Amino acid sequence: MMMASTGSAGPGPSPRVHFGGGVAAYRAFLLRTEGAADPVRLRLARREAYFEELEAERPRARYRPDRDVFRRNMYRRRPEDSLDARMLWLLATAKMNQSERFGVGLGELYGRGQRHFESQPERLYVQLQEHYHTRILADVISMFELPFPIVPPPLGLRTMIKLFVTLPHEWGLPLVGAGEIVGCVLFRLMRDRGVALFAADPPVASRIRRLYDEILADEIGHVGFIAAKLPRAGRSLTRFLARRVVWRRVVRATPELERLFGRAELRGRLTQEFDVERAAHEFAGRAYAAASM
Amino acid sequence: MREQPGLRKRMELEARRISSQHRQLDAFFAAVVRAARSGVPADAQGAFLRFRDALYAHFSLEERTEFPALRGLRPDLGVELDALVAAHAAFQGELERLRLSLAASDGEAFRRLDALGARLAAHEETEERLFEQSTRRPGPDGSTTTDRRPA
Repeated sequence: MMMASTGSAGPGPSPRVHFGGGVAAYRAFLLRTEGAADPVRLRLARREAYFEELEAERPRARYRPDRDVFRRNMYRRRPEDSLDARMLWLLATAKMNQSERFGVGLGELYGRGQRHFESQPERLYVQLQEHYHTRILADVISMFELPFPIVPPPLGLRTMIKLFVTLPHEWGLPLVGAGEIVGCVLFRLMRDRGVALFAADPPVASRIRRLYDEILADEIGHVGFIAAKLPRAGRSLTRFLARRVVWRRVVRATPELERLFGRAELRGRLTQEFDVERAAHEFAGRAYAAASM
Repeated sequence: MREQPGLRKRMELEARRISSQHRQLDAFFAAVVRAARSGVPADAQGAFLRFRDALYAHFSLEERTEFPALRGLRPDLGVELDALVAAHAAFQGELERLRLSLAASDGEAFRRLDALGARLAAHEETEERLFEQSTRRPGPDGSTTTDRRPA
């Protein structure tokens, strides 16, 4: 049985500090900002309060996408040619959620890491944050009252996610870290494009920004956490995997991204150096990068 | 049919893996039942989400990895495997209805839990039997199958 809750935060970084200090500082940040972790209910105390507030004011999007077209394209390998940018964006969001959900479910199925939650509570917090990401992305889709068929990611990405879950924690860190870096870049791109596409519907655009920012702040923290656990060579391998391997798998599994942003733009963004300290600075108070990748 | 010892070995491994994942899913499902009986909706929702996400991941692995391998070794099991995949799709609808019932704490939740538990147990049993059969060498008459009733 896992722990029911974590202890007090103790001395940690000041709320204005957002970088450095290694795993201990990240742990203190999580305890302070997330409150108690409940692995049985899959809840983080403070985030749950935030979600209750969000639930109470969920807007209904003015844009009414065709449910049949959406459902049909969820099962297609490549999206139909006739889809507009808003439909492509919704499909990309839904497919990214399917990948997140597959990873979370697989993690539960294999039950890896649970025996370390007492001694390394930050791993429990990271896992619970990943659960919240599936909820957040589902919330985005629910504003448009779309169906949510369960479609597993394609073979390449599925294999990679399975490796994330089944490799021993320390061995898998470079691969997981690369996935987190790619996630940071893609979620930012998706946030900005979503806000632009639905700008004519301010409550929806604002909620898209809020929800994607939640994920981004967490993912930045995960990159810093992994960086803090890796030696120099491991960090170098992580950067290599992110820029050369992982992004291709993710983009191939979500071809809507290529249609939305163009291959050249995606390649340009995803092969750039990712500065986790700068990213954490942008989300100061909400994100904490324990070390530089 | 030509003997494929490599694939048969792999099926032995898959049979053990599937069985172990079923036991994990059974434990998650038992936790949903316990949480629902506790009368605290938040507990039931948390337990349900864990069970549902793990079940979907398990279905994905079966449909995309394990069933195709079994189909390669035993093409004669195609009908049974198709029925199992169709049953996975039916579980999705049941799970969504259960989720809504648990969220609303309505009287239907317990009836749905009982029905789902019985169907899941039968489904797991069918899958384990198929995989167990596939690991046996064919008898003198070339047959290894006995019962063919997919849940």
